[in-house]
Amino acid sequence: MKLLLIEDDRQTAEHLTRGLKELGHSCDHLDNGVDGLAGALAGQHDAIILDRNLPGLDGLAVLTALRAQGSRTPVLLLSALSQVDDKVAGLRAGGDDYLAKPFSFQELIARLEAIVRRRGSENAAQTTLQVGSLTLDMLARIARRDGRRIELLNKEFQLLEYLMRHAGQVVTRTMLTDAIWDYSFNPGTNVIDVHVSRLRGKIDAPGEPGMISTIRGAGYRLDAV
Amino acid sequence: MPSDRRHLLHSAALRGALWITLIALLATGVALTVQYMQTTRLLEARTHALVDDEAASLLARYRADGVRGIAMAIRRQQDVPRVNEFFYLLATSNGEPLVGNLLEWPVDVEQPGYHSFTTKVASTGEGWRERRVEARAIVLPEGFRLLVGNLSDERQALRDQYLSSLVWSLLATGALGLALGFWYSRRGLAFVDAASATGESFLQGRLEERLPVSERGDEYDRLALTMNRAFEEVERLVGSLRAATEGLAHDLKTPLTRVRARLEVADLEQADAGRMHDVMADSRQDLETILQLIEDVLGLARVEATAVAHLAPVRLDVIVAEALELYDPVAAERDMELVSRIEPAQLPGSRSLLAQMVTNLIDNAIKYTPAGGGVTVALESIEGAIRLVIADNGPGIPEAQRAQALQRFTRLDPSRSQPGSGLGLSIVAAAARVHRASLKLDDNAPGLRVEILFSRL
Repeated sequence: MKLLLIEDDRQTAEHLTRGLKELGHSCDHLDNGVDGLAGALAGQHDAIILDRNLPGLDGLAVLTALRAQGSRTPVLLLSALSQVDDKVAGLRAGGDDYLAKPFSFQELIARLEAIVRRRGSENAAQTTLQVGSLTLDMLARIARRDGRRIELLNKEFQLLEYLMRHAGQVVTRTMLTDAIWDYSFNPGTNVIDVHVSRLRGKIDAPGEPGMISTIRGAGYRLDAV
Repeated sequence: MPSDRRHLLHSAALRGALWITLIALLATGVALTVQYMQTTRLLEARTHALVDDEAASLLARYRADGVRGIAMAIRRQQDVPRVNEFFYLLATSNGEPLVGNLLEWPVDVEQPGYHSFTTKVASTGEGWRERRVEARAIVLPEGFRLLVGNLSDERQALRDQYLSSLVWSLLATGALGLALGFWYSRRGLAFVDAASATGESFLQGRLEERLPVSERGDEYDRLALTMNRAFEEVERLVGSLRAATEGLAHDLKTPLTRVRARLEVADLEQADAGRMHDVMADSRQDLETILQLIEDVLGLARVEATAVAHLAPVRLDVIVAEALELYDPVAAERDMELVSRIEPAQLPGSRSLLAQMVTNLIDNAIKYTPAGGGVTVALESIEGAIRLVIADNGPGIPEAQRAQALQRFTRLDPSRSQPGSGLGLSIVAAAARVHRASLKLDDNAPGLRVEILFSRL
């Protein structure tokens, strides 16, 4: 991915740039809002990582200006503030996702991939999702693997839908609590793990290879097998 | 002290006293003047009636007997002592006195009608005296002039009395008003002084400072009570911040020390790649713990900063049901019974905080209940309140430790065998406070019973 990082904290920026390059992405870095806005409008980036508190021009102002200029590049907002209101304000201004500091690098990567992918597929109003032999009929709310029907509870259905929409990408626990339960906090213990392992038990019949793998220190990934 | 005198001159008390005095002076002055004017008008009307009456009888004599008739009537009246002493003067057209008990025609009486003047009046036996007279001048058809009047000395006396009583009243009102006003304002100022001193002392770090509250229950007391509540809240927050900082420092130090030790040992050992991988994995685990802890601390701070004023109605029953749905598989996995009894309930609140409160409580209950145990969640509307009860049959918390359990960073399990920052119940307590709900920990015999009572506002 070709990324643009707008962040005034030198250490954070250095660390992120190095990590992103390590993973094979290219990453430009600008350290203030004015240059950041210019850079965002000039370059063709796959996604922009934008800090909310910037010298010169505040992150939200950069985002608002960017959207006003018609740019549709996905934007991931970073912020030391993690109140629900800040998040709402960020998303309302045209942000695609919001990540509160401190965050893990894995979380950042997972969310970046998710927003870039979402941009790619959002035009297609899909009624059926398919990953390998797994299909999800969103209208009839029926899941099948190799034609075998899988009975799912409401939350399990939403969980599977989310994993399938992000198939091949790492999905973190925080992304799941955010998207499925709409909780802005960590519900604790291993609640999400339990839900995922239940879902696993339903989609993988005995003898079938597992479709959902656990990525240590990061989250889960659903792959076609 | 000069500074004291200046203080007094610039004080709100003096200003207050001056205002009060000024108002009292104005009120007194207006009252006395109105009374004086009404009295003089009454006296004047009475005098005019008498004079008119007298003049009418003289004019009747004139119509019957001419000037001679009037002169005779005047002479006769003068000789008869009367209660109401009248004054008469019959004069020629150029003011030459003909008959009457006034010495001369007053210079400034030219026009017919009522006039008030001082003139020389013949008094019985002793010659002439200066008297104040209210008289009516009449011009007779033949050019003669007639003056009929009555003494108006009493009006003069009234006027003098009015002036002197005005002066005395104003003096008394002024003195009293100043004294009372100063005393009254002084009381307010004394309170303000006390409040300033207390606030100053509070600012210098004596957080136990409080304003004195009297028994009167007046506005000053209400203000003092409110300020004392604010002081208490600040003291509580500072105290809890201090405890939190100490707790946080302690809880951060432990994993950080572990990470450092691990890195140092690995460095000394010149660890190989495989060993290094383990060191990194363990360190990452410790760092995760630290980040989670920081996240919880921030979460708690957020809860505490939530203002109750911004809360919109939310469905608590829906929030509880969602949390139960989230934890159902967890309970099932631990072979635990999760029983619920939920009635519809709506209250002004923050969905996020309430969800955090409910999930924390259910999480705790499940975490501390042994496999095969049970957790009960009940939400019901009772008179004027909504009651949420979450009970388990785990080990419970001994009564002596229940208050401590709500403090930050308290983990009653000294081995710290369960994961968590120890902030769970503090977050619950803070969320309850934001919603003005009471939080009670009880014995569930066996187990812990947490009751949260939301009173309907």
